[in-house]
Amino acid sequence: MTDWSTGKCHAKAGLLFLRECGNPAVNDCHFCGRPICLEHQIALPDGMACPDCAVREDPEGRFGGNAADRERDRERYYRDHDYSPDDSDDDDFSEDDYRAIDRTRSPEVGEGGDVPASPEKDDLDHFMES
Amino acid sequence: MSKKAINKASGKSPRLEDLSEPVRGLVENKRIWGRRRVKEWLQLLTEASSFDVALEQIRNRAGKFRNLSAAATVVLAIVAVLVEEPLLLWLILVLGPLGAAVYFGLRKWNLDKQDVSDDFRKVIVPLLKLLQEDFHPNGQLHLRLDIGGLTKEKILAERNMPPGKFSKVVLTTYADPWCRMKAPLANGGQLLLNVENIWSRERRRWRNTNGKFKWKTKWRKVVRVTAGLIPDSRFVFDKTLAEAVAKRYRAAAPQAGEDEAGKGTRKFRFRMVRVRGREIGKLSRRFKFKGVNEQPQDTVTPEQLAGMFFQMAGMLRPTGKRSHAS
Repeated sequence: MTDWSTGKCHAKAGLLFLRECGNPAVNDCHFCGRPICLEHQIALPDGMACPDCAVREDPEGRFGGNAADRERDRERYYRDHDYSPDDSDDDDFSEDDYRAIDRTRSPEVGEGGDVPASPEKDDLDHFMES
Repeated sequence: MSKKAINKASGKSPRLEDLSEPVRGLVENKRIWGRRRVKEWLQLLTEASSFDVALEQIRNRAGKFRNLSAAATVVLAIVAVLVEEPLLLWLILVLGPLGAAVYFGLRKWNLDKQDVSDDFRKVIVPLLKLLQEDFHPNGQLHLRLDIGGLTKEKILAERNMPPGKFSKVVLTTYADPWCRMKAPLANGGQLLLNVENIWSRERRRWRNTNGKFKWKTKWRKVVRVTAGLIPDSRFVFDKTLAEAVAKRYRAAAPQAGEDEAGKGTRKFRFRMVRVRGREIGKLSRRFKFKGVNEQPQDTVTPEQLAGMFFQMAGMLRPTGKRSHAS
């Protein structure tokens, strides 16, 4: 049984890899009781709903917004591409994973001028050359 | 009322000065690179998209007025000559529309200089929106964009071809690698993307029955997409599945009937590569488009790009589990 007492949003987030949103919850879903954040709450006539319930309760899409559209798009994409994501709530990333993200340093942004062929040869260059 | 709204209401062209600093840099120099959060990229590119859309409308309108004015000039000049009116009336009749044609022509020419390739707003902006929740919210997304479109610097080769039944055939090939992206995912993995447009323009000259030389231009556009997925350490590529996919693609021919549908033919390639000790799934696809006299405006869709990532993500299995096929 999922622990919903963490004060975090339990709506599904992501398209390629599903996870729980994790943003601070501001409401509970009127239908399933799942805590939901501002971004994922959808106002239906009966009350606030999570995207899952909103799509089920409002199949014609009369209410909702980005979150409900995303939920519908997600289902359509999974159907069209015959894809089923690993729906894991496990947030236990390894040090390697975090290093992969943290390796990108502070913003280093350029506009215009000549784009250096290789500002620094990174994974992407090695990947393209491979 | 915002400046944008005022501009829209008055039909004025959007001004570069109203744009934020990085967007102005992007529009002026037609390229940008750097690391930002996905939300920051989206904000920046959405602003650039709105500017480009507004500019395109005004440019099209200026083009229409220029053509109308030019046509009116010709018609009124003929009328003026035929009716033999006084010189003053003739001047008013002809110089009025001629002035308008020159004005709108110059206006369009000026606006054309600010035009950027549509690919970034048709492909990258929707793709970022689509995968927004997959990206690490605080991760720095590395993006290099070149939105200058076809320029002389991008000419790869220009040569005369065997003319055959034509008097001259010139083939020009352009290479436009316009997008490179490396994005950290919320689950610890990474997405890599490279999009390159290869254009070939074939200009054929022939002589018609009246003895006049005519030119016809044929365009071909190949969008080469290379997508990579580095899984987080909890996942690995299912080798058996990956090899089966790679083998299937090696044997696959372009899909029948797609040319008729105008969507272009596709060619696939999948393989596993190892970069800095990490295994990466590398999926390449080619999308072909054709055009006569005008450059084909079609390009790869964000859904097709997302589909490539779906395909690779579908080959992952949790570390330590046995292969699907075994």
